[in-house]
Amino acid sequence: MIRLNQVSKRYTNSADALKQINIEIAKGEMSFLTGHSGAGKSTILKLIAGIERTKQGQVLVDGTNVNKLNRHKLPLLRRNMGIVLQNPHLLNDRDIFANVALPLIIMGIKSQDITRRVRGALNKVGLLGKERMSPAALSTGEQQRVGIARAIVHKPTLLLADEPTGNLDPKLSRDIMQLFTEFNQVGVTVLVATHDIGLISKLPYRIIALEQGRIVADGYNN
Amino acid sequence: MLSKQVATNMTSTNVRMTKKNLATASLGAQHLYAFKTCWQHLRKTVFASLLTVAVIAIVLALPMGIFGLVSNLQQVSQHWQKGTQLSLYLNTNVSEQQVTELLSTLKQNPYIANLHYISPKQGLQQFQQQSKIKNILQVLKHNPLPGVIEIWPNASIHSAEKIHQLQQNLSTLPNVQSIQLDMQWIKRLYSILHLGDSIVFIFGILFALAVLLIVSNTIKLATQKRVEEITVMRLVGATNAFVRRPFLYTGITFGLLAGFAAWVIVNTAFSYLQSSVSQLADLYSSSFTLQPLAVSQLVLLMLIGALLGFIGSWFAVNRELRKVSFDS
Ligand SMILES: Nc1ncnc2c1ncn2[C@@H]1O[C@H](COP(=O)(O)OP(=O)(O)O)[C@@H](O)[C@H]1O
Ligand SMILES: [Mg+2]
Repeated sequence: MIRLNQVSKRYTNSADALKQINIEIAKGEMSFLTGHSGAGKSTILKLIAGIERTKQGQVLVDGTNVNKLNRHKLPLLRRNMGIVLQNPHLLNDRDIFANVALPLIIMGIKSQDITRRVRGALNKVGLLGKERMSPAALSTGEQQRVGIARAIVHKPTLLLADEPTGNLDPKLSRDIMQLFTEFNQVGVTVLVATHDIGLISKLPYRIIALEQGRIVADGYNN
Repeated sequence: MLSKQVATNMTSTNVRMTKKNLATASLGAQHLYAFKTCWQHLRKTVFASLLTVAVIAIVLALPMGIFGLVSNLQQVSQHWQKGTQLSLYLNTNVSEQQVTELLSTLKQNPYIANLHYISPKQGLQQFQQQSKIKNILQVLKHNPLPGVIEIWPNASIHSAEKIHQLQQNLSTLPNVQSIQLDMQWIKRLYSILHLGDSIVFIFGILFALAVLLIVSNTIKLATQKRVEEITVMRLVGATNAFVRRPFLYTGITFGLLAGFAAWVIVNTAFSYLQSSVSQLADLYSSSFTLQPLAVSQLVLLMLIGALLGFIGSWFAVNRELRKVSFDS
């Protein structure tokens, strides 16, 4: 599903953010990227999502080299992905339904289907019944869940999350992680970047540890 | 939290979006979304939007107003041109034979549309009728009037130089004593009209640039307030075209409304000017009235407005699209 071959990345006028990274993530796998702030976790996710590019190494998603992908085709790539960020980036000028419906509207889905699928997604994150509320009226944890609903409403095969629990207390963080494992159980490939080792150290999933742009550990908890 | 049924649903309906899928995806729904977004945005910013439309309208109205005045003047000048007439005064001692020859030469001149010979005798009759003096010959002993050929130049003679040229040609003909034409006047009129054309051209370009800058700046402000929206759109896989669309619609709407408003402004100004123009025309015993801008010019103005709105918003959105980043 995801394959990074000898990937290095240097932002303009700065040291290498990534140095010769090799990662292979199978379809349906769930894994975590960890490391201190500045280790390069976000950079890896951005390369996979085509938000950043690099000339060194290959970034393959489903066999497509994202680095060489025509910019016009990037949106198509993203429609196979769900992206969750620390800040859920909700639009406060519209209600929760409209926020979650965005990916479907962009894809040109019929409105009856949109209603059905938005309700399905909100149901999964436990927010059914709050469609008509403004995102601003929700708690931080609920806002993050709206963001997750938006990331999975179009049934992506790959879910990328960058510090999705960064603003949440431990209890809410565990709930969110639980959600991700549930998506993984139905076949979605999940890659979560987090510096919160405590949160994931007891979970039975693969952990890829980064330090200053290099992989220092890659394996499972036992 | 995740029900079994929804779970199986999720894997089975995983559809890959291919290029074809993208193209055939319901375009109607997408345009509807763009319209709705544009409309909601306009509704939320009624005052600012009206202000923008007003500014664009005024900027469009100025060159359009000048254009309207110039084309009105050109209308007037065409009247004059139809009336432009050269009078050839012949030598008093020409024979009828010579006059006939002269007339047939003139008839072959391609620049002459029409001509009319007034013999000395006819001239005297006209004079007598107008002056109501009977038996003028008894007073004057003999007819002092020369023969006159009145000439109306062809429509192809539409500049002062050409009329001047024609006049020169005609003055070289035999037995022509003098030619009468108020050249100076026509020259002035034509140069004013020419100046008007140039003014419309230059101001038109300047004002078009102004509209572009205004529209693009307004849309830029709008996009800056909506950076979050643009970011989210791109995050969830919107094409640039999709992100742009609501903004383009807004720009086009501004342009259309401003074009309409500009037309109303110009015609209101013209109807206000009408009374003073009629007074002036009366002085010249002319029934000239100021023609308002036509409906076709309304369409033209709205099209120009829409085009400028489109271009302006295109630049503004693209500038924002390039800047958007996804930092969490
Ligand atoms: N847009 C950028 N421009 C310059 N340097 C950047 C940029 N983004 C990240 N970096 C640098 O790249 C390195 C890795 O950053 P990042 O991938 O964000 O790490 P993490 O997500 O693990 O905190 C850091 O040293 C960071 O300063
Ligand atoms: Mg990061």
